[in-house]
Amino acid sequence: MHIIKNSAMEAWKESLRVISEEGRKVIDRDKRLSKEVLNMSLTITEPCSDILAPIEAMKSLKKWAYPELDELEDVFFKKESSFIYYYTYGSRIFSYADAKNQVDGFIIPLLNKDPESRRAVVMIYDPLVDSGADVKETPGLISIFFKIIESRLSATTVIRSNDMFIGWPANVYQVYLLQKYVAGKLGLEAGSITTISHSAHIFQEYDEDVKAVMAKK
Amino acid sequence: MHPTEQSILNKFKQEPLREISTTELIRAVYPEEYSRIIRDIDNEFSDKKLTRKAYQRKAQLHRKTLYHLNKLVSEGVLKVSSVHGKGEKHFSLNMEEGELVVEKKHKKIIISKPTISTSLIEEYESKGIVRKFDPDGWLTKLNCILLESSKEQGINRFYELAYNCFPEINDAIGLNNFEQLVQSNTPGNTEEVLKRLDIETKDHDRIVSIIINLKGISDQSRMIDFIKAFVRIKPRNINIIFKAESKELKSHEKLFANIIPEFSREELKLNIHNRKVHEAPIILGKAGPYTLREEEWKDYEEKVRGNTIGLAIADTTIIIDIHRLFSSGTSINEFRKLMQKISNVLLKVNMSKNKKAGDHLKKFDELNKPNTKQFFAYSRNYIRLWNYDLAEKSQEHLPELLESTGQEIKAFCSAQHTIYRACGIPFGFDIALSTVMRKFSAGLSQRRYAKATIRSFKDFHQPETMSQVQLKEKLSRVFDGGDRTRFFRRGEFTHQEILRELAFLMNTYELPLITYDFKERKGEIKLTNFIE
Repeated sequence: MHIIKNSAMEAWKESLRVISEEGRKVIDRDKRLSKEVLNMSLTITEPCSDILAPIEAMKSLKKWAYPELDELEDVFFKKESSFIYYYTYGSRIFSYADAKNQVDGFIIPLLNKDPESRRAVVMIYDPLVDSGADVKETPGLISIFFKIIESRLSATTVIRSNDMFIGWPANVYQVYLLQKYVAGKLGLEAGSITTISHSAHIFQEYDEDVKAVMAKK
Repeated sequence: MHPTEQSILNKFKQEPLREISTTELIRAVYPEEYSRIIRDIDNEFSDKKLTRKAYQRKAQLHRKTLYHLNKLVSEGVLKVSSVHGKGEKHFSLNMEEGELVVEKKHKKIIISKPTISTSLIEEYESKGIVRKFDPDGWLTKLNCILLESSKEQGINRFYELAYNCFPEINDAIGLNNFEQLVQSNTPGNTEEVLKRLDIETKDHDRIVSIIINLKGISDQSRMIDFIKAFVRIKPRNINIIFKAESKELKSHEKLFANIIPEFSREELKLNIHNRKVHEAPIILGKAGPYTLREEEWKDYEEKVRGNTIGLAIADTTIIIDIHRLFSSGTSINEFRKLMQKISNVLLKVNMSKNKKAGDHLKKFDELNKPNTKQFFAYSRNYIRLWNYDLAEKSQEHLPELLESTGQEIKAFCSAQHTIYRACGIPFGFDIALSTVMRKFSAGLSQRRYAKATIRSFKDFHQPETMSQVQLKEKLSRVFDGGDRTRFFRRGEFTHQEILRELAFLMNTYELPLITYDFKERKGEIKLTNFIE
């Protein structure tokens, strides 16, 4: 399943529609009912046009406290790991295994040196830490791949388990911020964003809210 | 502006949320001089004269810095937030949040304290309906932790551990399985540690709950020595909680034959935690009782115990004065909305606390590395209720209302947990409901709890008393954050009678914590019982 749209909002709404209509029913370990589509990919060709629109749509529902933009940015860019959070994307990206800055120490010099490189991948998942049957929380985002296409930097992220209603708006915004950061360092424009979600799902308890979002113009 | 004041303010500019000790401020103001002094003091090759001189210089620096600190306090820029150890003052910024501009003689320092929007509950705060527990420390400290004791540990080391935790909590520490330490140390040593704990808990204004697990007692005479020492010292801020099953009261009769007369004579409270009703430890703090959910305690016992020094039990507390709330004509819907608002505020406070944990809770990181995440994994926030009077017409629906509101709060926490996790901010967020202790009721409405009088053991079977205890039992189930049922015991009695009453209560009702209070023992010669 591959959805290609110009804007984030269009892509998001289409993914919600597909999962709601075609998803198979799944009951997870917490006995929550969801609908799921496997390996769903969404490409947003012009993400900068409305990247915040899905987050604003979530906030407009006023049902929950959705993380603030600075919180979302903070967890993605803060190098220091937290002893409270089970993991942080920032520490995995900028200080993987407390040793490797994957962006400033690899992606940027690599793409500067070889703009056609196919090696520009940031790993977030760490099998040494995350691949344990008893591990309580593991990152949803697995990797982010950067590729320069016609002088624009595209980003593709692989997401292991993706709550498409609640999580995707934040995930795509965070990837966009990193894409902008890398593009800025390379003197390029940010291009398309693709998200590949191995398990793209929506929990049943949000059905009414999903409908409300899909009805938004 | 004097350079010393400038350095002090710059230190607070770097860490606006922190409470900073005088010593740390001196170190920030005179970094080189102070480290030279410490080197001279610690140098084993220094002669006595040099060491004495170093101490004098240290005292001079203290006086000099304190002069400027006190000046900043008198100008309203700083405040003394606590006094620790042998009287060392700790200072913090005298502002809740926002920006503080200090301008003196062409020198201007602007300090910003992060804003936590509590506007959602401000209206209720101004009416005295809602109150934050320890507003000064609520972004920087934990309410309550549990420390695990073991016989291998050594009581002095355990004391050091507890002492090191005091600055980063603002209410209570529970010392689990303390009987292990009592039985593996000499009575003299244990008494000495108890004396030191008494002083420290008073100095820091903190509470310590000593949890004695009756199942773990093999040496009753050692325990009797400990009880006698406890009664001699009569520590104001330390309580003992006996964790037991009813049959264990009988098998430890020798111990209780000492405890009951001693406690009643000295008017000390006898706390019995009924393990059959609730397995997770219960800690009694200033604000009220603390505990964990059963499933979480089980999870901790299976997966975490032994990897950490214990666990964080509570983060942040907000109190609601139920009497004031309902006497102002609040509807059930408004109550639900208020609970929702408080839950939102607690989430915001948690997020802010988590962000700055590296600055404010670093001691716990040092003590639990590499398993710090596990130490924090079970901590909950508290909404505590004060002065609910079920006999009042406006509050008769309260148990059902609390039960359904509790479900709503649980759903909110679960949704927020999912949302934050999905957004790459994975942390446990949970809220517990519980009650407020009278110790923390200053400024809240006059207590109006129902009372019941019992003139003999038979009166436990009187319909009125039974229905009151049953109601309390129902509330205890709603108060998943811990609840205590207190009985004021009057008149003459033998220890066997008290044990019989306790066993009856433990076998008949599902009350997790029963407290016998002997404060009014010398009143009428009858068995009088107040339930709160």
